[in-house]
Amino acid sequence: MKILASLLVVLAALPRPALAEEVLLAVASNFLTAAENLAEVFEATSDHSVVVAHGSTGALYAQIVSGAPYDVFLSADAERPRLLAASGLAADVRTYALGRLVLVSKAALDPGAVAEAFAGRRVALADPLVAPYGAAAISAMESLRLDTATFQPLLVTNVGQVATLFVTGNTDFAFLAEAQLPLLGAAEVTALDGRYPAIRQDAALLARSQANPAAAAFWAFLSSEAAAEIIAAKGYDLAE
Amino acid sequence: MTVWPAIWLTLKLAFVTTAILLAVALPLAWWLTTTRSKLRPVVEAITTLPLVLPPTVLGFYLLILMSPTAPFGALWLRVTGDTLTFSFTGLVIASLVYSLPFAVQPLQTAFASVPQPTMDAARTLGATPRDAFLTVALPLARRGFLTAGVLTFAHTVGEFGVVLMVGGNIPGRTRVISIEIFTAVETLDYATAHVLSLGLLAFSFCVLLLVYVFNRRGGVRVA
Repeated sequence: MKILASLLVVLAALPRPALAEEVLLAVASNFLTAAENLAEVFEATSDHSVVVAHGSTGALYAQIVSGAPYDVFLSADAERPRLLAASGLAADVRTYALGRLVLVSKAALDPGAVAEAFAGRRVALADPLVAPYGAAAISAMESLRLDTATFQPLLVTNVGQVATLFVTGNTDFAFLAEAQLPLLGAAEVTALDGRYPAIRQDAALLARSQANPAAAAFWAFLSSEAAAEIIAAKGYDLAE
Repeated sequence: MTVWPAIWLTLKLAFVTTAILLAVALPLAWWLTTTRSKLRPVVEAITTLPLVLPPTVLGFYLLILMSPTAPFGALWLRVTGDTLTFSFTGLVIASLVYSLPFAVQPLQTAFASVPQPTMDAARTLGATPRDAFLTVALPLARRGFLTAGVLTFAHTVGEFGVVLMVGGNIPGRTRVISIEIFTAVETLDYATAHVLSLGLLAFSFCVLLLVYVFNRRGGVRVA
């Protein structure tokens, strides 16, 4: 998959047929593997190529506002695509997935005794200011009546770094996107359904890219049956 | 295979930055060595600033300066049709600032070690200041030139924070080796992270070894 992506980067520099264009995706970290999967299928069914860049939703939003050359923004929230539309930077906005937050741990966790398990331990979550999964984790903690003074919260910039802390053994508990679970290997998973407001992940077709046929084609592909299947298989709910 | 675009981009960035910086640093270092101007300590302090400032400070100001809404960024956009931020050109500009001290300081040290009597002798024998510089000072300072080039190249290869802030993380365009490592670690791709990290470690060691072996022979000190 990565080999394919890098090959395409090289191929993008070579002369190609007039119709084949490139679409540059800005993807929130939680959706990275799903986006790479979508890119693969899209490339196989069209003449266009895809380049995937990723980061925290807040960082990508800041880059777009400062003129970053992205075509489609796959955000982890609904707020930032809405702001882009309001300021004229986005031509179209739609919900592409509903994110699912989970709590992972090394040892099995009793959902009724999370506070006891957390006591004095390290708990990693994404920074709620820039990462919607971090904001959802804060809501879940409130719902579980957890007091952040009783454990050591570790704030990092996105859920990708949260996963790194967990896999390298630097944290005992981690609030992650369900879509990341296949990367983790052995981990106990506690579902948090109903303990956080829906993580509505919206996509924005950026106004600067309306004339790019690859961006328009990818935008159409994003709401296709094929794309919906991939998104659901990766651990997301679909917007009705 | 997947790491080649990042390696190629990094080498391209380091070559372009080193070539431009040596051309800029040469007259600047010569001026700093020979001038009696009261402005000298001010200019020296400014050229050394990137050595002590956190990359976030440089990145922040460069992001503002090169933004399409700022005068410089807007002018660039009008002339070239391309934005500076999140582009290769933007990375080059950021690297020029970031690596400036690594080009200027070895050259300045080398020029300072050119004996004044030798320069005076050249002048007495009828050499113009330009001749004396080209035929006496420059050849004597060649080790400083090499040190400046090698250190600038290596420092640009090792750049991370500034590039991430002004370039983002766009594969094939602004994703250099250090950012590829950051991405690999974040996505738990430790095989790629190991290959690139070990590669950079070996490269940096060889570069420093080269510099110290040369300087032992020549007596020109690094920075």
